[in-house]
Amino acid sequence: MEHDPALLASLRRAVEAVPDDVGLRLHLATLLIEAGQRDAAIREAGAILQLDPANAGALALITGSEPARQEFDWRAAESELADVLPPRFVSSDGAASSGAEGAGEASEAADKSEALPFDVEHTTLRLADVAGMKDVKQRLEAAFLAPMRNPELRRLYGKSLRGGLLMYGPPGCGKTFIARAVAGELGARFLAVSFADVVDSMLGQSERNIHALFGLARRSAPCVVFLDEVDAIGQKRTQLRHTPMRAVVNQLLLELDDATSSNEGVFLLAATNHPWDLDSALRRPGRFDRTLLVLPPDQPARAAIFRFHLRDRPIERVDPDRLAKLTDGYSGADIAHICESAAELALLDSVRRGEARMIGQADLEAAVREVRPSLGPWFDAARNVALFANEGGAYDELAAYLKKKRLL
Amino acid sequence: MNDVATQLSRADAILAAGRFAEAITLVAAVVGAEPDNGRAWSLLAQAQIGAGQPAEGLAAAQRAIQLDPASAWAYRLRSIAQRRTGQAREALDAAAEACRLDPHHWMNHLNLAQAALAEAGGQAGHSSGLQLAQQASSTARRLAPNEPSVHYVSGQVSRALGEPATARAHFEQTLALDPEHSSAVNELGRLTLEFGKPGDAARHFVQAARIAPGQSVYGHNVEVAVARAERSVRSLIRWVIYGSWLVVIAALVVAQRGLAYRIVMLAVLGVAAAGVAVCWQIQLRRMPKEARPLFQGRSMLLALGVSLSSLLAGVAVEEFVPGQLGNYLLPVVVFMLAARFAAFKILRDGARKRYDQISRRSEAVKA
Repeated sequence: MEHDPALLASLRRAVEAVPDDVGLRLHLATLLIEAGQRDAAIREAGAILQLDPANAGALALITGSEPARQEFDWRAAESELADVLPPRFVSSDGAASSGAEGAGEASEAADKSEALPFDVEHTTLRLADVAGMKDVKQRLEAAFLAPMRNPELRRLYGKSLRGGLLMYGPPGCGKTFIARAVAGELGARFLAVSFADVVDSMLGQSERNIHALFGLARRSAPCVVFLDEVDAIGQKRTQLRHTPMRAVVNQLLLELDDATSSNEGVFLLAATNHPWDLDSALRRPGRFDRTLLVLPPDQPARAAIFRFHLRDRPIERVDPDRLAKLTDGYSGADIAHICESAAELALLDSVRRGEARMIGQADLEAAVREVRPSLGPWFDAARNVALFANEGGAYDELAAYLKKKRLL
Repeated sequence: MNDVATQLSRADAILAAGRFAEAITLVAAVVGAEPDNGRAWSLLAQAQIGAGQPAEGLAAAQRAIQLDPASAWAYRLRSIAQRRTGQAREALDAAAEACRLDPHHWMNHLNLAQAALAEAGGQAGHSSGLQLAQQASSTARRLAPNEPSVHYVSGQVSRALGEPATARAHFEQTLALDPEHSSAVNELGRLTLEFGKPGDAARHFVQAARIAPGQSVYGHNVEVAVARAERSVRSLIRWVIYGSWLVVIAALVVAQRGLAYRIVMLAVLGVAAAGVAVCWQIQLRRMPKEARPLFQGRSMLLALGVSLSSLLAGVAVEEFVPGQLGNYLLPVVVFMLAARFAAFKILRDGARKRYDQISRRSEAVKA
């Protein structure tokens, strides 16, 4: 029964008949692995990846990690329960939830536009949809949103629209989300570029890509160029001694400070988890001369994040404000994880008892106890930076935060 | 085919930028399309090792060796993966095989030196392994004299052989070639600390932390250096506590009272406090200014205060109830004992907060 060659043969025929059926092919590949035919399995997995490059099952088969276990499909079960029990949000104040819901729709819209490299972002997300983070929004407004909206005032005050702003902070705390909101504010005048868009195997092509990007930006001025995970493109050149990436950094520096063409009207926005890995030349005036610390969400922001992640789940008597109080020091991504874990707990309990029940406050609090904040390693590095590498006060903002949190 | 070659070169560039997870996704797709491509499996192994998945990397490297048994690169990757999964003996064999296949590439000799070092590690007197490491590192130096990592590993070998001066020279050479080689700076700090100079060691560790703040181990090492500097102040405070006991007991035994007694007691108090303060200042001044805030002054001050209060108790009894110190002997002794325990506990807890074990950054050499 286990390694039935006849079954494998008929499955193969079935796959040949319907070559685009990813699920069928994955099943065949899994059976082949079980039958000890690893080569054939990898070939099938490869075919799956050509159809669906992000297929986790096929990736797991090839990279040798455990294939995703099909024990229990949490998501499917969850959505089934959602039908049985219509979502019922009970919160201590209903007014705040509408903003977060808006944020949800908008971020979905943003997800769709992500695939386009070098292109303008199409998103309905606005800065108003980002909960909390007052300081960050204010800085963004002053740095380029207000000058872009009011060209007359800009001229009056002699404010140039060039240079850049570097957002840095722990992972999963909303840097990219904020950038998407900025994209929503600016519409066509927002160019997003990631490491994958720039890097190319051909010698010199990565540099040409960067040049093309800046050419496009200058033609569409006034506009904002957003470099996500800029530490990948602008890594310290001393760390890149023998690699082609060194030339990419050089090209980026050249474009930022080009003598032949003006960058007037091209504003740079960048995000990174590790600003200390950035080439120091990138931090000079005219380049990323202003830094902005994006910290883990504050209490109102955390409550809004809880509301957002629980918006489509069957919940009862959940108090997001209390949860927010319990999760000081957690990132937005951690909170998403907590909501997922709480759903799992409630589901497991429902399965065990044979009757469906809502996700309650107790589940969420249990999940909070279970999930540890993931920001520890980042703060270790940040502490090092604040103590030993804060030359010229570049990380004063970070040092002040660490002191406040008694981490220094 | 051409498409696969392009994808692999792209993966190469992504690997060079240290984006291991992205490289794994990209190479996995290539491996799926061409399961017999040895280079793809080697790249997958390299990415997985870089991403901290040595077990998966080992499997990929084995596969690359099966497909291309003459690839020194695949053997080298296998060696690194085995070293990271704790199979030191097998790692050494794979490294030797890589050297046999391609004896002219410095990386193979460098890797052999590291494998021999790892294999000899922990076993005192494992001199044949260390000699092999020494030979391999000297061959690597001959083949690539301008490569910083070669000198760095040579330094590690010399250190294991118990030759700190040679090790220091190698680490300094590493820094001459690459002034931002944080691991070499850290190693210099460790050597300096072993020579009993915590201030200078802290300077090295601070420099390493400044070059690579993402490596939390350098910050940890600064704390260790500070803790070593604090050690002399702590032990001085302990001496002050014992000294104060001696003075009080001596006064009781001799039964010397009056002005001379008071003067002696206060003088002892003053000298002890001044001695601790001077020692404290000396240690603090030797530290780089970035490391000074880490000095646990508050707890030591508290311990000193508690310990000196027992001396003060003796003086106070004599002052306010003259000639009756003998009657108050029990309370004074109880107080002194309590003060001693409290002070020692404060000192011990303060020291325990620091890690006493120095650690170092693991291999900084690229696969």
